[in-house]
Amino acid sequence: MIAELGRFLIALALALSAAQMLFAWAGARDPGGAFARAGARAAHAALAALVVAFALLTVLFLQSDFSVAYVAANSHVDKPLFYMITGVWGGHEGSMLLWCLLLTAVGAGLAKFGPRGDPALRVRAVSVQGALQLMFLAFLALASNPFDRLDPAALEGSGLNPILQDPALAIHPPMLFLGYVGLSGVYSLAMAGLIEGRKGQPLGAAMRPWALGAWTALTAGIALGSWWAYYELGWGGWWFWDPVENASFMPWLMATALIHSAIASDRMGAFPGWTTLLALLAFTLSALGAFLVRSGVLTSVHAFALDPERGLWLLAILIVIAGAGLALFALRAHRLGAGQGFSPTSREAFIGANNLLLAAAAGVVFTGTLYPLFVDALGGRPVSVGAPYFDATATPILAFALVLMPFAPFMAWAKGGLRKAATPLRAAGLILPAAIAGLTALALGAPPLAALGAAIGAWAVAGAGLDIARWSGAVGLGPKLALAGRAMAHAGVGFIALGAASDASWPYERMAILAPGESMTAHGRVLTMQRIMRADGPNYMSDLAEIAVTRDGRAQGVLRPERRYYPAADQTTREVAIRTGLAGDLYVALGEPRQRDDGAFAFEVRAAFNPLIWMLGFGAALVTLGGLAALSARGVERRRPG
Amino acid sequence: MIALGVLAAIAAFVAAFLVTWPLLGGKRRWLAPAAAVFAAGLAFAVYAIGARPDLPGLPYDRASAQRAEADPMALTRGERILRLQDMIRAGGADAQAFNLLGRELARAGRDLEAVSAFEQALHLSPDARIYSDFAQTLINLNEGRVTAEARSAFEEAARLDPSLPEPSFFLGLGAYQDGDRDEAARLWLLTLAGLAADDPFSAVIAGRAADLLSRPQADPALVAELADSPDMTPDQRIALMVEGLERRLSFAPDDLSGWLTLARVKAALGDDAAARAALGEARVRFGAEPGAQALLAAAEGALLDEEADEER
Amino acid sequence: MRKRNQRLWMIGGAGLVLIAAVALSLVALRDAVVFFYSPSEVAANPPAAGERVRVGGLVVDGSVVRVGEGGARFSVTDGAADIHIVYDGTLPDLFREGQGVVAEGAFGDDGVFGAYTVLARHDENYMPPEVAAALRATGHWREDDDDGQPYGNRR
Repeated sequence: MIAELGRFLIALALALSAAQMLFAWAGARDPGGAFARAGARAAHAALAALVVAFALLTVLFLQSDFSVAYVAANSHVDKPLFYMITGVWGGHEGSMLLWCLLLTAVGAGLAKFGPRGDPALRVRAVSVQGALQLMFLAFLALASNPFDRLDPAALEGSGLNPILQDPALAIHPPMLFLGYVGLSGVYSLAMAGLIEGRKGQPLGAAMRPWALGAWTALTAGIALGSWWAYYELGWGGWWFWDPVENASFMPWLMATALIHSAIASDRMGAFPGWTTLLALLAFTLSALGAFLVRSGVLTSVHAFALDPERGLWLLAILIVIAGAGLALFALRAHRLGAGQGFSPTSREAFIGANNLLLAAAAGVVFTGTLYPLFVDALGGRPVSVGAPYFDATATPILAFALVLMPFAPFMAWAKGGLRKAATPLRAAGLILPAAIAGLTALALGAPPLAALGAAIGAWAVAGAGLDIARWSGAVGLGPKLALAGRAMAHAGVGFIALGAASDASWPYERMAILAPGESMTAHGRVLTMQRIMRADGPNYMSDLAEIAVTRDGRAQGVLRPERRYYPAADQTTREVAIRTGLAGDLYVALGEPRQRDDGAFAFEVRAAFNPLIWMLGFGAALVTLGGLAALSARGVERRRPG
Repeated sequence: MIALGVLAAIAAFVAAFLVTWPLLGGKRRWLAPAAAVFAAGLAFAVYAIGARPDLPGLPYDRASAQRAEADPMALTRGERILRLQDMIRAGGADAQAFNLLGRELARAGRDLEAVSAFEQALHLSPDARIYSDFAQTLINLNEGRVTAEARSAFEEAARLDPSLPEPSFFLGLGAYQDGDRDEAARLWLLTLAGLAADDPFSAVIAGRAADLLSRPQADPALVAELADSPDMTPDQRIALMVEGLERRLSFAPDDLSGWLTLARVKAALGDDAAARAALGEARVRFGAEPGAQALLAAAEGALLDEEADEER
Repeated sequence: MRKRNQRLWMIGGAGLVLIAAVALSLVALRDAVVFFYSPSEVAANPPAAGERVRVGGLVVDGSVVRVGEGGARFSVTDGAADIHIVYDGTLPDLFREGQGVVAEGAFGDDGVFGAYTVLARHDENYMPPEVAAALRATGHWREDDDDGQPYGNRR
């Protein structure tokens, strides 16, 4: 009964989304009229229906009702309560329900918080969002319904995929989805702007907060996913240029370009067409990401079920989103108006360069990610494009963007002038840290390219430092927050570059087969396997190794890597043990056991040292905080009287 | 089902009228009820695709209660396993429940989980039978090898209940796997001595022991001898093997496995009389030992059957 | 004048970046593309020793030897031919006999494939697409290859 009610609520949300689309469309001519109000109400009702449906699915998970196929495939009675709840969005159907829920939340959000000063644009955007909701809800209801039943009911559940039973991964999908779906709001606004024939400047202003919010969530989501890959997959890497990662990276690049170009559009009326196009492409690439991840057309180290029928649905939705957006843009872009002129040394020029480079990076990532698909479609020999391609293309392009980044905040709008911005003191403040970082890296034996990366990272961090030094010049809470947000985000990107460069500079990995009492040396430390014991959990069995770390005879604590076997899913995972220090992470993973010739059991132990890896997490946190600061700056500005 | 229908209808019409409410004030007020009915109808139509309103929900607690009330024998193995796991989860579990669970899991081929269940049972109450089942599961898990862990569990079982036949049989198997055929023969004779003659296991164990002990290719001494002369024809090898065996037995006739092997080789060569003679020799030397009669009878039966097969 | 000047700048810059990105992509794609070979393709027409390629197939039952000092040797098959693979690293958690895997690496002069990475999927139902296609080509793969028990324990 609970399951059937949930199923009905999905159907109801679909009908309400249809009403939202139609009523709001009819209401755009008279934004204060009955139809517009009915459209807004439909948006709120659709959100309410899906909130209840989501709650009902959670109840089914808590009850372990295995007459529901999705619960049976993703839960187990022995699962800890926390992962019972996160299992709700751990599989395909549940994550699509979450996607649709967020989509309706954006619809209701547009109706309530959409552009105040332009009600027609707001109502039109609510209608476009209704169309998006309708498509994805049809997919949810007809091809991936989480409330599908099993008759007879399954005896027990398969359990959530064990590698997904992890706190970071519990919040990673909602964050990532919030980012993707937030971009749907930007898409709807851009479509509404084209339909209503708005100029580029007001449209940029309307899209700005939505783009910023979506970008912040997307950043946090990607960072969490990368962190998870770092410690859960047990390989020590943090970014693999894997199709699933690229699927989230492409919209991020577009959204990053968008938050910058939207500023230029909002402030100076620059790039009217380009900003709108970016808004359309950012969500299109999000939908492409959903298609790539969920249809399984690409080989990926991250795994999700693949299903050709679902792939076709998502492909159809993707074609509608991309086709409608691009066709409308082609027809109406001229109405956005021409941009204001600016000098080649103005801030607009730098934002333009940033956009060009980010778009180029997205383009090369797109090419590399989809190239195997093209080859396959043309009947060629199956190929794969790996990290070397992306390292050779996207990395230098993004590095170049980082080189330009510190200048932009010092450039004036429109007129520009390099001489005024690049004072000798500032130049020294940029060049000195960069030179120090680069030369230090070289002296410590880093390869030249990685040293260059370190120099660029330090350059970017120094630029952000110079930016924040103008703190006293910013008057009022809003401008101060905006400045802090920009500086933090820019510094964060610099720290990420530094972390990546140092990770590439000194890769260190040792492997040994250790029985209790034996030891190995790794990065100047002695790791001694003290004992191996059973450490079973509620839904898994585990071998836990206690490995004592000593350095120059001084004890540095005990690491406890684990190897877990989850019987319900018949899967083994490894839980790595990490000792984080300022110099870097000592990363120890427990591999397969093997029996020696004398019958004794020994375990494969892999020890890696990842230098300065904390900079990646620190950088990502700074970028996210920067986004939040910039968002709150807008909130403060809006509330200010006058 | 009726409650579901009522709830769904209420949800649909409340939502639909709430949404269309503003239209009632306008010029085209007929549109409000029409749109409301249309939206509700669309919702029911979409719901109907793949709906199963007839299927009641089955929370795990209810499924578990149904299993607990059912007759265990009427359940499938998977259901019996779950029934036991539910009892254990509820906290009312004793060693017996863990032991039963371990056995069911072992029969279902889920050896790793079975081992875990047996460990729990032994933790609660050390018992010879459970030790024996535990050790047998360990052997299954290791594809038939009697590991050190299994061996110590069998030794513990034998200590707790010396009358239990399995430990000496599997410890014998372990000795056999290590190449110690004399120790294997001694332990297996011990197993057979402990069983009544009409025990169905007696014939099975005797047959298995006779088969293993008489395998020429598993006799370490013979294998070593043949390895020295690799380029011989099969007939020459058999001849050499028989010669070597006979020589060895003439020096050291207290070798049950040797006599059985000789009988098997002779029988395979078609020399029934010699096979019987070898078995007779073994009977003379070992007949007095308890259990040997069953073993020799099994060997004789197997060899005669083999001959009968060949004649057919 | 000013406006035209600016447009020139923009178009010139955009064109330059575009050309650079396309050139970069093409060069990198030529160098970084890794071809996939199925075992029977390797048997018929082996790639040059030392060329970086991907191979894949089902891990042959009983072929996995875990070397005492780390690493492993195993074979993959598509039913028609086998490839012997040596791997120094840690096998992925989902590596299992009878399962589909993809290995990236290069053949040595002795015809043994030295793998740099071995990929097994996180998903239980996963069959790497290249492997599935190669198996279908050799008729080794049945669509209904299922034990009929989609939920609960599979053993």
